[in-house]
Amino acid sequence: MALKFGLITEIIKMIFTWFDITLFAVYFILLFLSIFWLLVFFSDGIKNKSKLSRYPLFSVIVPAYNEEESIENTLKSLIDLEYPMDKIEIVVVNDGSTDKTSEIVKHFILNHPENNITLLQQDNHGKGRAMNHGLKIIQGEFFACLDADSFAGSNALEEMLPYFEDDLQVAAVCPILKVQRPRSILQKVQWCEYIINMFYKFLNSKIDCIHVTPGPFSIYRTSVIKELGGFDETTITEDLEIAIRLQKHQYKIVQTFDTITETVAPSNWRSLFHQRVRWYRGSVDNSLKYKQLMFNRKYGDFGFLRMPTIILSGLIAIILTGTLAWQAFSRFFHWITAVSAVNFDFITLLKHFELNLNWLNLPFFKLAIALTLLAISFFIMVYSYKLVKEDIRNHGKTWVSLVTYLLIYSLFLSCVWIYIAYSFITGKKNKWT
Amino acid sequence: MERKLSTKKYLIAFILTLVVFSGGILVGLFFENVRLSHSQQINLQEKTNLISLQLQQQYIGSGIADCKALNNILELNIVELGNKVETLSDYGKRSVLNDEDFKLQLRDYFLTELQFLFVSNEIDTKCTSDHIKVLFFYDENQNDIQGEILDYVKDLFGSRVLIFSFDPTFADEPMINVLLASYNIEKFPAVVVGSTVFQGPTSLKTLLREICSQLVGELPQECKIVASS
Repeated sequence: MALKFGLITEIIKMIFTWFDITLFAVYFILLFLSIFWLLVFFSDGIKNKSKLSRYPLFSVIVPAYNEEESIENTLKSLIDLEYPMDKIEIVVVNDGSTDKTSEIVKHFILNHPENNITLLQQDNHGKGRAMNHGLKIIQGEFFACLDADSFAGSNALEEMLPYFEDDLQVAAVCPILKVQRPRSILQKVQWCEYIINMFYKFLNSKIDCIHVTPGPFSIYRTSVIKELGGFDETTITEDLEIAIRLQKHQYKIVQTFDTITETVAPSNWRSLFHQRVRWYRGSVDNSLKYKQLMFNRKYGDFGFLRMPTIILSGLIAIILTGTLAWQAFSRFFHWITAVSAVNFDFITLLKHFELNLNWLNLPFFKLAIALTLLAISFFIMVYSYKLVKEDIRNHGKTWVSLVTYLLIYSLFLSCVWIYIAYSFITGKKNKWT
Repeated sequence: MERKLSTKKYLIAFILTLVVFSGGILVGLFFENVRLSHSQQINLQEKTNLISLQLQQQYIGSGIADCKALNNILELNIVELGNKVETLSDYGKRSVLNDEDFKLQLRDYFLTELQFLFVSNEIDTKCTSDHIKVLFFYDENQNDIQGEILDYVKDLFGSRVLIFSFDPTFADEPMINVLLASYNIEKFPAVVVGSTVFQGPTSLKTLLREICSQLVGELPQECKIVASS
């Protein structure tokens, strides 16, 4: 019995040692990545682009599934583009909508006969199929995808097309993405998140590491996409898949900060959860699909750093959340056991409660690392807003949304990663919900 | 086409990360030394308190030292001891390079605590006391809640219960083993109330019954509740 107990104790000690080593490694990796991206930030800037010298035919594919609330405004934003009207063709692909999407689009076409707008119908087969359906008929030298809940900036083409002219290797250009008119605290939190993500895209762009060309108005060179076989219809994150495929074929993806596309963000936690599961699970699936790029120097920083960190970020989120949850649970379990042993006599416990804080007992090593990471995070937050020319106080709810973003939102996203790990292990497929 | 790899940036980032990590380790080590100094200070303070108590105990009966005042001082010192043992134990667990020094401080502390126990026994021979002594040999297992139960008992009985805590696995001090052997203790946590020994986790009810049965003088309200249940 004693031998058994001793063996169990030794195993527990070993697990906790490996646990400590894992945590140590996570802190090291986080710090390394933060410092690396800071170095990228301070390195040479992105080349200035030239002005648009010509107006090539431009196509927009609008895949739509039950978008009756927003499709009209989406189409309005397209006809308001600052570009010669006869040089734009718009193709709406109705992906088997069960609401009034099709009728609204037909009505819009009738009311705007001067614009070249086509409506295609298909059974519900997903965005990838819809994109390819549109790709078959478009004539534009360049095309954009615009989700039907997103709205392009009027200067989009003037600002984005020059990148294609300046460099023939450029296959895609992405705009700044912002949440349109955040109303709730949750939407304001996502507004904050999108702005900080733009900073990371700015850094990624500097070393040619962009791994996703977001649905809302990313522009592609039509010939390249057709040459690569169009969009992948088996994945529901086709914007991520095409970006990795472009990188694999050594094409460039550029992030511009001169035009803004606004998109509607989920207004409740459930919708947001489903959205993020789709996105992050899609990133895992596509990373594994293109695993030959990982740590592969042939693909530069994209293969060596960016690809591995797609999955690594999820692993780190799971480890840190797991650690936090375990510690919180252990302490709570110990507390509840102790309190129940004294018959829940809270009155006596509160009467004699003393807060014995010994600052010398603080984990100074971990604090030093945490403070360094916090300082870098603060810098990123401040500069992100400067980069996209926003003020954190815009749209109100500043302090509540900031606290929610810093404390609750990261835990929420970690839960998304935990669910993804579970769905991956149990073999559940990624799907639209 | 070979794409650019930011090798220089990776190298600089790695070196800077090592620098920050090393800085963090150095900060940790600096504060480890500060903790060691604090441990030494705690021990010195307790030793001084002990010497003072021993001297006062010598003068009981001569009119210079008063039994009531002495028992109050003893009780305050024991509470202080109990608070500090956790601090020293935590310091020892956090140590990286000064493990031996922290063990020495902890050993010194347990010896001081034992001397307080013996002084308290001597005071009891000269003064009537209305307190009882409880020895607690704790289990380092994090799930052990015996300490919390004894803290609660202390909250209920105040100065009428004096609790002395010892780490039974502290192999560096033979006196602890002597104490364990004298009470035939083999299982932990263990609580000794007066001369009654409880081995393994002991419920609040059992402890209260034993404590109330050993208390002399006016019984507190809690004992009347225990007697009626």
